[in-house]
Amino acid sequence: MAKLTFYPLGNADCCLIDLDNGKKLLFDYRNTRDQKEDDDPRIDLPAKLREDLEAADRSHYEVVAFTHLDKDHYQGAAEFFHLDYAKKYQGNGRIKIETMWVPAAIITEDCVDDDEGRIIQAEARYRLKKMSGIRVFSRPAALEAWLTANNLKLSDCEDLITDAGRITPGFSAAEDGVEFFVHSPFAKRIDEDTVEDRNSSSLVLHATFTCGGVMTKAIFAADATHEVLTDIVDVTKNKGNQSRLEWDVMKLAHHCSYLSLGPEKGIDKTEPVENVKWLCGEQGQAGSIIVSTSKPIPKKGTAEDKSTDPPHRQAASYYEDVRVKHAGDFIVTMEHPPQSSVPGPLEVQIDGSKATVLKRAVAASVAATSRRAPRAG
Amino acid sequence: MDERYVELAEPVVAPEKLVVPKAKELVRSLQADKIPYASLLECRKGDGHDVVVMDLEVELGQIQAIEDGRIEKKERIAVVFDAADEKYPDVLALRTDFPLVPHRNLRVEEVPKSLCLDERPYDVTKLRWAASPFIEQIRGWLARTAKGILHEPDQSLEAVLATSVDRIVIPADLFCVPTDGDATELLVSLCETTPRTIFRAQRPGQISSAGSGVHVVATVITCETVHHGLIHRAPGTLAMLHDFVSRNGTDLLGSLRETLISWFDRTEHHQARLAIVLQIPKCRTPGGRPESLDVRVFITAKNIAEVGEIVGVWKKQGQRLGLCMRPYVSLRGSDVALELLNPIPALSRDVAARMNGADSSVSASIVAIGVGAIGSQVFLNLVRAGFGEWTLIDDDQLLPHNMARHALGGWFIGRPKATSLADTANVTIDGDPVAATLPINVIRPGPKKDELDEALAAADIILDMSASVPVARHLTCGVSSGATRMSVFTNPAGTNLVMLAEGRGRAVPLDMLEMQLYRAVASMDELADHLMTQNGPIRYGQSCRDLSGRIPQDLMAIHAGIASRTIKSMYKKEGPSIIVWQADGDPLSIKSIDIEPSEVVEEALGEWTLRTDKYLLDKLQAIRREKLPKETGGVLIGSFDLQRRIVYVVDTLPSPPDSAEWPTIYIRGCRGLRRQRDEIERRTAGMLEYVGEWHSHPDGASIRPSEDDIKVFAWLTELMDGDGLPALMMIRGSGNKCGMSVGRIVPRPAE
Repeated sequence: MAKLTFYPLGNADCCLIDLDNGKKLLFDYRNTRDQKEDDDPRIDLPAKLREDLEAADRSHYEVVAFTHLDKDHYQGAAEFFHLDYAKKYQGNGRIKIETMWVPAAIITEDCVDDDEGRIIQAEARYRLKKMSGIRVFSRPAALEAWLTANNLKLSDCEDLITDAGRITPGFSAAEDGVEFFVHSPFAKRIDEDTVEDRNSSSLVLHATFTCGGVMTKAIFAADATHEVLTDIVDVTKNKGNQSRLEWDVMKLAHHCSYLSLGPEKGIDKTEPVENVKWLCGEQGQAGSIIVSTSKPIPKKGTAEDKSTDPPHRQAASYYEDVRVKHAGDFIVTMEHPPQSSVPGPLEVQIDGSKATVLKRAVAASVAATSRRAPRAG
Repeated sequence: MDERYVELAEPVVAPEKLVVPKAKELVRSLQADKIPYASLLECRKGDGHDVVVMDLEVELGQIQAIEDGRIEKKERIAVVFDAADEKYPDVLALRTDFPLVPHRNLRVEEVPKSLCLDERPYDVTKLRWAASPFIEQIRGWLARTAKGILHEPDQSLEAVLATSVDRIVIPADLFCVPTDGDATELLVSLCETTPRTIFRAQRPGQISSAGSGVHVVATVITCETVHHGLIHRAPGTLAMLHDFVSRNGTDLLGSLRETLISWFDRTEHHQARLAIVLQIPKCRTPGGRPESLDVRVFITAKNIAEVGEIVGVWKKQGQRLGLCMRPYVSLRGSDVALELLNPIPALSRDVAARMNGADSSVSASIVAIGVGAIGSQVFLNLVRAGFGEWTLIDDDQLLPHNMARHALGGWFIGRPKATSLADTANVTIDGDPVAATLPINVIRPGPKKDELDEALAAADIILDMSASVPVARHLTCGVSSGATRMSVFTNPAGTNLVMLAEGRGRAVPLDMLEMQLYRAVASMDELADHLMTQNGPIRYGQSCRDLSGRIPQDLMAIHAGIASRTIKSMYKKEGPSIIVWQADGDPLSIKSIDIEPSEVVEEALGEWTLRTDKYLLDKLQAIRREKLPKETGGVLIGSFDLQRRIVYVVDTLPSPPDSAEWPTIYIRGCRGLRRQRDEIERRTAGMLEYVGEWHSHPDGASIRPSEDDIKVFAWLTELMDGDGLPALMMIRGSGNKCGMSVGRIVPRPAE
């Protein structure tokens, strides 16, 4: 039995993956909550994650993946994690990362425009130079220039680099009940001689969980645009790897942005480009779950609706069609659970019945003992 | 009106019109949004019940474990609350095509289906009933049913056929041994009709306390193995029952016809009603190994002659039946009405043992002597635990005063205790009789002597509960049997329980264990009051185990419990045991005192036998060594059995201070001796007394009596002869050497 937990963070990503063998993986981290604002409905992510680690009596994650260097995927990470490269980010109950997963861009990008982004980059580079505790997703040759500049040999680091179209080392169906297939970053063959590296792309992974002989598949689409998704579908189809695009759980790209479906927003519904339409419509399984890690879907005509920022009502409208087609669920993290005034974590259990959205009422005794009592007079 | 759902008959009312408190609490919680994943739809009100209808969101995986149909994400549920709150709120799934899944309550109307939420009695669940957990329980039922995990792995299998509230107790072997169509003759009697109807079926010859019964002849039919899960309503006729079991490949009518044909000549059966004991083996997973058995009893309203005719095996020709050449298979018994009874197995020995926490019953042939207060209770305790096959020996009859502390009740007054107890045991435990009786005196068996000797010789355990010294002595010395002996009795005050057990090795016989107990009573402070009664020491000569005193039954029950428990744990022990349990204090506590048995040393001396033990010989040696090179000595304590000419010697008193101790001479003094002897006799109620003298010889000296010793012995002879007792002298030398003399010596006339 495995579990995916998506946290309500507004337009931001953080998914905790619990494996049957106790391993914990975290895909992205962003602490968005305004601590000064009591009514901020977004969850207190570091507190929630600490609570979970304490319950499991651990102080580390096996893997923390930063899918790309956008603020909404790492904000606050420098305060939460123990970073090897500098003493000042160590101790004080910081959470350790056994292996950091990053796309190549986090190593190679020269002009990261944000302080915290530079900290994450420094940690990733430090680990790569030490040749431990890191996995970089890229075509190995595409990293060669940076490695050479840093007095490293590609041949020494090859074990730490995983190319698209491969299974990520370190996890297997037999040992962990899951394997991760890499879709992006990838290299696109322009013609017979030219290969274009899409290293700027974010880390897109496809997980296949196995539980009691039943496979459950999940796509973590990071912030992939419809162009990237189109290329991914093309490449994957070319290689005959279509099964690596089947999904029971899809974490939507870029917080339900229409740009991950197609170029035009549309008036009431975004029309997806052909490959994305195939990915959503044909590859989704019966009863599958679409997760939008975003703010609530805006109502037509509201200020939010007019904003250019996701989530886009028109994209959501398309995903609703997909939901109906698969008789599944379409869940927006900031709108879950549906009846609650405050959003809570979305938990998806993966077992012999494939994916189940947990709908549990918390018993009073559990609720009372998991939080501090109010001050007594 | 939504056609997907059942329209309930009760009229819709405003929520505030509800009157049942639990219904009101549920509605209030739903209206206040206190219950997640649940929304109130409407309230209805019937005659004596309130109904709350809601939509529940169900936690579902993508795949469901239901063969036919699905649980849906949103299920409409009605809860019917009984105004008197005497039964579990009825939880109805209103969707008309709600799947046929296990853990439902069987109803005549199967739509809407009623969910069985809890196997505990409502009175238990009621203590913690609250609206929110109740809804969670319903949602959990739905979610777990969808995942196929509602039935816990450690939960016993679901019944295949519904049961009846009417019960019938049947012989336990009908629950496990398929008897291949043999006629099982049963006499069915009605025990009681309120609050529930319970019948009892016994084989003729089984002792029954109930009156005459309906004559029923039973046949056992074992079905093919069925995968458990769905519970079915009981078929009402023979034809329907056949159709039900034939779905799993069982030809019930075929088997029944064969059985009836074989009964054609047994005309004594023909007027009896037919009982079909249907055994349905169940497995947990399809095609799996049968794990348990559903047993149902169907009794026909018609008699066997009529049933045979209806299923086409014979025909009435005038007053007689004529067997058909071939059964008319088209005759299927559709007008043979069946009455379903829920069979309860009678208590078998193995089940009794398991219910007592043992793995299985224990087979051991036990001859129990004495079934009075303690004996009757120990016996029934062990019978109820499936322990032993018993022969009870007691020639007493039950009198009113016995019942203050006897296991038997008033309906046995005047009857022999042994047979009454054996009957009680044999109707309590189903199957072969567990107890036989010999209502005789074990010492004077009379014409039954051979029977008694045979029983004793064949016994594994001879259990003395007679509270009588002569009986215990007789069982040890007068009975030829390899059985291990045990003796269980209480002290006169009833505060202490004693168990003496030889163990399988029988190294220390019961009579010596008894003497060693008296030695402990004489010497151990904590046992000083063992043989005292409330009125001081009991009179000399009265049996020390005389139990007609004022002993509370609760203490007797405690002692009987300890005794039966100890017999179960000790019957296989190799070595001997002497244990005393003391009940003391308020609140009462029980302390056990383990007395170490000592190896027996026995010497035959002419017509006498001297029985002593290593403990005493070691003690004498220690005293001798301490005084070396001088001689020392003292008086010996023990008991005489003049009937069997045995002298038991178990202790000594210290050499009195006025004794003369020289390297070659010992003259025993007497200061303080009388007082010490009196104290021992008092403490042991005369069971231990002065039996003789001993003295030591120096190293290297012979242990043969010297000239002076012979003079002492002659003096002793003269002294003891007055009481008809023999003289006893022991001479302790170095090492193992110990001279013993018992009998009479008349001094040789001086030369």
